[in-house]
Amino acid sequence: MLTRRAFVNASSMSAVAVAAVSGRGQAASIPEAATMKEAGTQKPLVPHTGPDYNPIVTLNGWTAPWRMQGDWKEFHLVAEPVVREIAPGMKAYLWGYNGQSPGPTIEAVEGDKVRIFVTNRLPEHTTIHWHGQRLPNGMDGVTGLTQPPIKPGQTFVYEFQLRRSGTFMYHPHADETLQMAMGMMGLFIVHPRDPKERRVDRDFAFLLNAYDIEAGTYLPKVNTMLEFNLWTWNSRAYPGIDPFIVGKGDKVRMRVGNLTMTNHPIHIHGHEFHVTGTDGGYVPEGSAWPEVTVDIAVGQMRAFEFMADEPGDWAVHCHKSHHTMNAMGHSVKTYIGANLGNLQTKIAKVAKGYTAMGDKGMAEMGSMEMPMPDNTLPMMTGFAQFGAVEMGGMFSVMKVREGLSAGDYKDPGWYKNPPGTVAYAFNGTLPEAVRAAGSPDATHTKADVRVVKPGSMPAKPGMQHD
Amino acid sequence: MSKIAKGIAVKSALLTVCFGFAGCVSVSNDGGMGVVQSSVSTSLSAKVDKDETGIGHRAAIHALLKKSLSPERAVQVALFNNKGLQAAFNDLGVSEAQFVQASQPTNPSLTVLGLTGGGAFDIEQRLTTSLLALFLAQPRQELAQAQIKAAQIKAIATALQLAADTRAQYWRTVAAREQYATLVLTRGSAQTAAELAQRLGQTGALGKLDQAREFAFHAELSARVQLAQTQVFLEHERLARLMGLWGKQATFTVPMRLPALPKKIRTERVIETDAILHRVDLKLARATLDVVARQYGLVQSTRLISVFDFTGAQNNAGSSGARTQLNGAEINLSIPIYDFGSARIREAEQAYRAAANRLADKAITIRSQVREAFLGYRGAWSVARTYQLQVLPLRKTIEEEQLLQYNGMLADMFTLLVEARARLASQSAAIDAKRDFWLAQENLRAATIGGFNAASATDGKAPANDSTQ
Ligand SMILES: [Cu+2]
Repeated sequence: MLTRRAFVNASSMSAVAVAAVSGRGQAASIPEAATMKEAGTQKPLVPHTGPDYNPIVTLNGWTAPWRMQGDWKEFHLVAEPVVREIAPGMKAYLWGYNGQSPGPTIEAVEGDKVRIFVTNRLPEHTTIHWHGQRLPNGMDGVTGLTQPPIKPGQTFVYEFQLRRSGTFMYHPHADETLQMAMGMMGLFIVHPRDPKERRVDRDFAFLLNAYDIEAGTYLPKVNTMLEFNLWTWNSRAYPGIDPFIVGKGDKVRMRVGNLTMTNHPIHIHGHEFHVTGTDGGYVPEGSAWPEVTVDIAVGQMRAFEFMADEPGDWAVHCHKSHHTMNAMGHSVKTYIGANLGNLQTKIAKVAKGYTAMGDKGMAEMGSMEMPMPDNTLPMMTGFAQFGAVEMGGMFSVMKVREGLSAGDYKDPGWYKNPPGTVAYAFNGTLPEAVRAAGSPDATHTKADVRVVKPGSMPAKPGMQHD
Repeated sequence: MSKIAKGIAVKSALLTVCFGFAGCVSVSNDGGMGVVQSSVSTSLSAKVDKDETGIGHRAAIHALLKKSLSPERAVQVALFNNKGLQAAFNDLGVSEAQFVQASQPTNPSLTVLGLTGGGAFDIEQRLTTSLLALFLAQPRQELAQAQIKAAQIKAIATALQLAADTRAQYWRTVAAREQYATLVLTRGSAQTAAELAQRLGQTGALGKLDQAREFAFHAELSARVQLAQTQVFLEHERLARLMGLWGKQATFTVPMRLPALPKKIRTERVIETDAILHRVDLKLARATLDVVARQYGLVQSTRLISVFDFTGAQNNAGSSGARTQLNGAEINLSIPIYDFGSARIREAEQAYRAAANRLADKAITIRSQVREAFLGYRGAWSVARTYQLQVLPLRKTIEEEQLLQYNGMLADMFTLLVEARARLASQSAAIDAKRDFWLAQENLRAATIGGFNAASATDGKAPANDSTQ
């Protein structure tokens, strides 16, 4: 099944294996479907046929190879169950395309005629909707409304001409909530006809997605609508998300599409950017607005650009802080300030293996590396040169370095800060801190609140227990 | 089965079981204790002794109580020390003395005739009486032997009953200890949770409601621990009573926990045969039948039949190997049929038939009891095994997984304590199941050899009346 064949005129096919299609009768007319086994970021696919363009870097993803058939660019997507590595130590049983979730990025050029074969290897029917595209109504992929469903085992063909350039997505429009909760989605990048138009040095793209996979399990809970516990970029969670490798002085674009059920304020450290593209197309150059955080609403796409002129290791993340954590227990009580003392031995007596946590805060979680349930990522994790990063979910690092050649996406390691440019501990003596009147201190921690209760006893936080 | 085969079976029964009175019983001068001792020794691997000196087996008992008790040592102490059993042995001595006296033939003494110089009729009369007495001496002795035999079996039955009660009480006592220790641990987890709740109350993380819930749970468990402690005392005292102990000696110790379950248990094949061969109350019923026969002077038996045939019970002889084996036991329980037609009065026939029917009733009941005891035994084993092999390991897995969830801050610290309690509750149920198995095993033993107490089947509760009667 995984025989390699150079059937496409494309470079960088090292990690791409090629799968035959099940429908033998049509095999002669259907391009073989490539499949991907790795979850890492693949090298951009430089075009060797058709019009030239500056290829995209799909974060922890890849671009679908194509073949030219006359003046048609032919792609083949196979909808199928996949095993996606969310981060080292955790795999999810998802549905996706061509071996991964999300599916391969489809890249083409404004004006291209694309023919996309879609084969269904799922146990239920599906369709693909080409989110944001102008196309004939019958190619819009809404099951029942614009086409019959693609039944299991069937292959459908979508044909349309790409009328404008920009950032698009594709996803099912049949049993949509379930199929998207299972990871079925992909990016669709349409490059400008003129490669010089809106040109950047490094063009990154990723989709925001979310899953609810209970600790110790593999399969997303498809009936969860809001309480997701894994917030991912391209179905990867930190520390599984690759860093953005950028040369100092590069013009960088990031394109982000949101297929979760909530909004995500995406924030970059150390730089301002301009929002240059929305779902509807490019923002006119003079109207692009500056931000350091761009909120991406449900179903939206945003592209923002900046000059990477500050060398260093810069955090890039969603600013909803619980989206930069992996699965956690929301019913865990707050132990801050509770002096567990001798209770720890008592607990360990009945619950063997117990270690106290949480009485100072939760940061220790980030560095403890305790044994966890199978297939479960620590809630806060990741290590860098100064210690535990205490992050998860939608978090990554942009590494801006001097002297990177174009197309070099190799991880350069941790940033070497120039001497005297890192925050440091003060080792001198401090005068007694002056507290403002009424501010809480060690001798007065109880909130001064009176509540009238049944029985008219004044409320006391602590009960007596003998 | 052929008549020859039946004959062989009868012979082996006489040899091994000593149902007959021809060769086994002799009038002794040990108060009948020899037979009781050897029988108890065979059945229980324990010694019985009549305490003639009044000082008992002080040294032996002291040694037996030194270490933590085993069921065997508990039984031995009871057999040495239980005054009720000693009374039964004394009763046996009384019976023997009386029977021996009654069976002595009058001495035919002609010198007496000469001395008295009485009339010819007188002389003839006395001579005839003496000769008649001499002639009758053999049947009278046989009757006496049969009666002594019955009295001995009664004494043996008393010993077996005491042993069975002691063993069962031993398991209850150990189980109560283990149960208590488990509850103490459970209370510990509740206490920890309560303290934790209190501290969270102090930091402002937990309100009065949730604190009160934890406190209430702890208080309730404290009450249950007290109950369990009382149970330990009660079971200990009951065991002390059966062993005839008081004072300092009653402070003996039993192990902390019940032994592991056996990996294999007895099979069904021979239990009924065993019971028919060994049950002491069946032996007693058989001995009673002989006493009745002797009392009515029945000597000329015409044939032997199975007691089951006697009552009209139908057997599917030869249908399978196991069945044949079982028939062997049935045929071992053969009784003689006498010729009631000739010179015998109707009373003798009815009395004999009544005793035979009682014997048959006993035999059929015993077969049912041993089957019931076996089913209870096998059932209790499989329940206890389910706890050991499935429930407890799964509880452990749950606890381990819960700990992993806690480690990942996916579950709260309280859930650890809750799971620990759930595990301890299963452990408590497992202790009950194990105790019920050991009780069921005693029940099966008692149903096979004697000391069976129909009231204290496998419910694990102490019998209402733990006397040795
Ligand atoms: Cu977010």
